[in-house]
Amino acid sequence: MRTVTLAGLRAHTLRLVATALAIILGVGFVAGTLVFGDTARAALFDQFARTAKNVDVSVAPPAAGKLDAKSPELPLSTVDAVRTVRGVAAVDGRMREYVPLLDRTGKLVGNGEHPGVAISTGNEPRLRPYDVASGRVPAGTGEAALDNDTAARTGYRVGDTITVLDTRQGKHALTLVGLISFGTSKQYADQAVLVLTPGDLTGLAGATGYREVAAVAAGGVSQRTLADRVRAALPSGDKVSTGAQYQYDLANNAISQVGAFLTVLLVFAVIACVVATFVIYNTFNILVAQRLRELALLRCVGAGRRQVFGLVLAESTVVGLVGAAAGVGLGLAVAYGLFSGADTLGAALPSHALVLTATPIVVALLLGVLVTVASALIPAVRATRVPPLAALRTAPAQQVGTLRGRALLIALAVLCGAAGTALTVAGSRAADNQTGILLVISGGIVNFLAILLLSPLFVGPLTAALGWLPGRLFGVPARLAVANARRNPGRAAATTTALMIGVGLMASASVAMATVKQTTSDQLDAHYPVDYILQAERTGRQHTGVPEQVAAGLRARTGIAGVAEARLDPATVDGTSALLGAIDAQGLAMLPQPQLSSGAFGDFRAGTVIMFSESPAARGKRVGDRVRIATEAGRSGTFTLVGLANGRSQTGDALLTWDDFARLHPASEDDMVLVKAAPGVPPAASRAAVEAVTSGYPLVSVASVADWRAELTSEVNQIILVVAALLAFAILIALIGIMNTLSLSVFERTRESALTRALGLTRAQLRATLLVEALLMGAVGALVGVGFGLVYGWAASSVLFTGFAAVITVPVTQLVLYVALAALAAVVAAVLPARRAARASIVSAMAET
Amino acid sequence: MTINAIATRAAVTVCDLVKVYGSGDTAVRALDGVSVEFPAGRFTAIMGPSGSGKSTLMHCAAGLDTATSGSVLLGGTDLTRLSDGALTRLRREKVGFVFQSFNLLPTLTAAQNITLPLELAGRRPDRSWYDHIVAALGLQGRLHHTPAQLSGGQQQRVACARALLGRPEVIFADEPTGNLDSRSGVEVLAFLRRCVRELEQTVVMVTHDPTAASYADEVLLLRDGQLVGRIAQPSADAVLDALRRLDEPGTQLRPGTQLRPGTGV
Repeated sequence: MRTVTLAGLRAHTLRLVATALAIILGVGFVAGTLVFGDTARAALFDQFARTAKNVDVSVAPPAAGKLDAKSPELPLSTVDAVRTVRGVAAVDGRMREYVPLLDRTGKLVGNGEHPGVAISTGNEPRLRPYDVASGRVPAGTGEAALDNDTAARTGYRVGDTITVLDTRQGKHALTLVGLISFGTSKQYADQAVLVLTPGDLTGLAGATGYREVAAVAAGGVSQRTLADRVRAALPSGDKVSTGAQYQYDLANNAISQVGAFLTVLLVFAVIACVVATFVIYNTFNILVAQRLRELALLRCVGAGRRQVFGLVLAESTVVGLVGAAAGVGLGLAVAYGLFSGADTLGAALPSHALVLTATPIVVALLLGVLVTVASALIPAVRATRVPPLAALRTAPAQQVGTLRGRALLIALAVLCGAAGTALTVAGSRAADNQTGILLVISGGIVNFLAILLLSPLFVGPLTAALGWLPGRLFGVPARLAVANARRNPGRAAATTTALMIGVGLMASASVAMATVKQTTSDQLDAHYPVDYILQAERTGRQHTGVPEQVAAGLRARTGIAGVAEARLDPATVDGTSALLGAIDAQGLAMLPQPQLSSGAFGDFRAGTVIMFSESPAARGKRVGDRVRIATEAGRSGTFTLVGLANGRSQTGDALLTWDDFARLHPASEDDMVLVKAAPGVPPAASRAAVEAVTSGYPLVSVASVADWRAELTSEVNQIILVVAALLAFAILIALIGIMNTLSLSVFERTRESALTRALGLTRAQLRATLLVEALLMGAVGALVGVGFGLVYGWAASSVLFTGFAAVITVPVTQLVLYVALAALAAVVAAVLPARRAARASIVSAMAET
Repeated sequence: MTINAIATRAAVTVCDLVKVYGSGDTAVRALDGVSVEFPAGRFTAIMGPSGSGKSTLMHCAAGLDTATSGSVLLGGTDLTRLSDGALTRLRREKVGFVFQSFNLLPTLTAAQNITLPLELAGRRPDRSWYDHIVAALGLQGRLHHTPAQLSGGQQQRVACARALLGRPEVIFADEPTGNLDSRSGVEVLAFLRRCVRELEQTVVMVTHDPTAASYADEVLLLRDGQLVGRIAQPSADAVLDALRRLDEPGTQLRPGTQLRPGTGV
């Protein structure tokens, strides 16, 4: 039997190539993702090795996290406490705060999201997390070192005077005495990193303690032993870990961010594999049908059913193995591409050579074989049903689905459809949108299964309906194409299904993203009926705002119609935390009134509050209630609730009058300044007017709502592009499936094609027949996919938004484009098979058996 | 005509075999109560006009097709009672086949095709017997060719070798010369007769060529699913005569039963 298998593989190599290609692509994607994950992990580990160099024990505050005023620090006494522990050779306290750095023109040096960071010099050279590239480490107050990259970007050199801002936004001049390097580490991404003395960090950035304390063990003391001793010497809340654990934790923290990206990739990789399953199933099915006589002859000369079954399975195993092996190769290329492309997708990774461990190889090989063998199971069973007598018949009997089988199919599909719809409906009604979206997605999968089951029934009629127009236009070839496409509904269904999955997902994503874009844009209009939004970057440990002089300056400018100042403060309302907000009187008049579900906006005056219903603090409250509001600073007051507004607001959960707010939270800075340009003033002019005022305040950033909208659009388009790129594998596999099916059908119909040629069909017409057949298959698959995508894009996006209705938007042009592209791609896939069919000589094709 | 009582063992015994295709109004009785013995070590030809049931008789006797009623005894086992697995084993071990066309797996070489049934059964071919058959059929130089590289006659000889290698109880040949030119046809037929004479092999052949039938020890005549005559030691002329008489009552001669011009012994 082995001889037969091997000979069969050799003889059908060409036909199996397409199958192998489907596996290569699917497995390649999976293997690539896994290799990428391993490499990212290794890269992140190496990156944090620098930070953890020489660290034997690390101490972190109870809940270390972001750099802000609320995150706890280790008191300065910690270093002394650690120093006295037996076995500690050296200890260093590490400070780390935001310190905004200005460039030579007085503008903020930043990467758009964060101002620069300053770290302490470290009095223990062994424990410094950086290398000195040139110059020296700051030794006293007024000296600073800067990271290489920022120095190169800003043109600062050793000896220059640089300017930083303190927590009150006051400017301070420092002397640059050195440049430092972090090697390949991108721990601070593109942030400017300054090295300051602990004294300057305390004075400029308001550091009151350490973010971390690192210690080196004396010779002969193990990390574990030392960690235990340090733990015993410190307050119980402090997190003490060994150097190895510390590096592991640092890396894992970063990896978990990459992890989400990996999960998304794996989901798409699995989709590609599912599509490959359909293609492989189809190929083996066709191969079995074509080898009917061969299989029958085998049965005649004594092959048992099990042997025939084994033959088909053995073939699929070999194809799966070969494909998977090649897929690992492709996977390396994919991983390399992902690694280089990760930056564009927002995951900054340090450079690293590809890491190939055994896991991706084993997983890829197993997956390849499993997918192929599973896909070949049904065809293999079908092969065992070939009667020996079939070898003696001239024409193989057509397989006709039984009526009972069809009834079972419909029953199953109806069951799936009911379950899927129930899940979807449950999802759209779910309280929180995370479970909602999960339910909708599982509903989508189950409903898609229903479509799959039914597809043999509707693909035929749909093809006929679509083929009506080409039939009119191109006459006989198109009509033959329709007949051919309908001849084997099971095969046509499996072929188009592969495409349906890809296009369906594309369409879902497009509808969802278009809806997100439209809805967000509408919300933007509703909440920000303004042209510019001014906010301040943070500095040091302080929460900074826009100085009130900015608003005043803006009001004095021409070309600006209105300015609204908004202030926020975290507080509690009757014990429940809520963000307190206020807008100045002039601004309140400029902005649209919040929509109240109860109460009246006219009652809003001193001593009253308006609350937004989305806030937990508003739960159970009614108009007329007296609520007690207390700030974190300890001021408090009692107010009358005069209105409940729908949804939530960008300017706090509880709105007070400007004066009431000032009493609870006296400040001279605004959290947000909203600016409305005067009508008729061109954007460039209004922007210049705004920037003329803010130029004196480097920390104040100016965002234009038009820019936001443009950014939103480009972000949405980027997501659609990424989804398209991720689905490219699946769609490519589906197209290979179409090509494969067609070339196998061409092979199957050699005699028939010759007959039609003998009867007067021209070569061009025969070619046209096959191209139209492909076009119809592509169009049917894409149309069903788009239909599915419409429904599920709508369902998913309506769940995404809570509190307000999603503005369902159908990107018609995009969807039409998908169908057209799918049909076109299918035609391209059919070019080679069509050429082969048309080239065959009539006489030899007729003689073939 | 009476059944020739030949004092030999029967390789295959068919008893009251009925085969009905379809049902109701469209039912066709392809075999209508046929009883016959195929004696061991003899060359028997089955003849009859198209639709007489000769192929169906062979298919049922070989266990390729299942009969509606009646029994088929092959080497002491009743085929009509066997499961698919048992029938498969029977085909492997007790039956050899030579078909009109598509005799060989196109993907295997001649040698691999010859040993295929034994390999399926997990048996090793008897080397000297294999060499003997290959030599007798003149296939030595062609063993590593694929069917596509062989002439029709060579392909048919490979099929004969395959059928013989397992020393089956009986070889069934279905129009073995149907697709061959006359010279190749003669070669194959002569070889089949040698197998019977020298190796005491049982051969049952379906044909509608009287010349081919004349190589057999006996010819069975079928019409409308019934056995209607037997000719012992037939000559081509005797067979042709018999066939003509077969067609006399009311029916015309079918072109397929005519002697092909130019084929003689």
